Amino acid sequence: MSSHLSDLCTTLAWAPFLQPAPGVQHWWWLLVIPMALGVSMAYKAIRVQNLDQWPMAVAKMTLQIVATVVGIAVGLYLLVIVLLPLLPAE
Amino acid sequence: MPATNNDATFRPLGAILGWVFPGLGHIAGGNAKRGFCAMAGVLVLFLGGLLVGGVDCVDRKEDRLWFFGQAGCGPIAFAASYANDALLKSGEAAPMIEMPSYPGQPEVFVSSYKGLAHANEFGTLFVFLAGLLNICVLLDATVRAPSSDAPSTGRRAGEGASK
Repeated sequence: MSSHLSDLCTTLAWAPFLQPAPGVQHWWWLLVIPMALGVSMAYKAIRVQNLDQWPMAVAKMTLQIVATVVGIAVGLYLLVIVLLPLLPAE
Repeated sequence: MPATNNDATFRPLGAILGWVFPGLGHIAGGNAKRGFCAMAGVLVLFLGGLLVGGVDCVDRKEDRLWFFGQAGCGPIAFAASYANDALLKSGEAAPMIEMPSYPGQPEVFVSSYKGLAHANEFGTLFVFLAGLLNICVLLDATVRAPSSDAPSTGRRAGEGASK
């Protein structure tokens, strides 16, 4: 309870653009979504022939980037946590 | 067949305007919608970076190599770095705190708003990506034909078809 209250106070006291955002230390991995969205928006703005296709192209590229990052994370998890411990110690 | 404009000559003014503000090169070249789309993408990254890491993530003195890429955003990156100097490093926005220093070394004070760890890393990365993508956008503005996004005057599919 006191932890939630402390988090709430930290958030309310946040000075946007001056202070780092509260909670980023715990939820940093979610930042891949706005990062992929911003990259897709700028890239597809100069890439698509017809701008009517821009929203769909942005959504598709964002999903592709996020899915690729998640795939790499799962692959590395399997490699480090599951496969490597199975190897003989020597 | 839609009308196309193949007048793809090099226009340095597009690059200059695109650096002054993201997307301005396209807007000045008559491709306003494309310019606003590119502007939105670059600003999502730039403002997202400042929101995540604070203005401390743009620092042309302490993070010089990152700033080379961030400067691709144009004057807004320099303004953010100036705001970092004027508000954070001067102690104007928040009290300064003393950092541990080696014996014999001068005392070091930093702003209590200084970004650390993931917040600083992601903020710096976001603004860096915004700068690199804006360089791509302004290069596109130099070679894209003016008003090439104007709607075609030709018939659209289905228009005028007999029933």
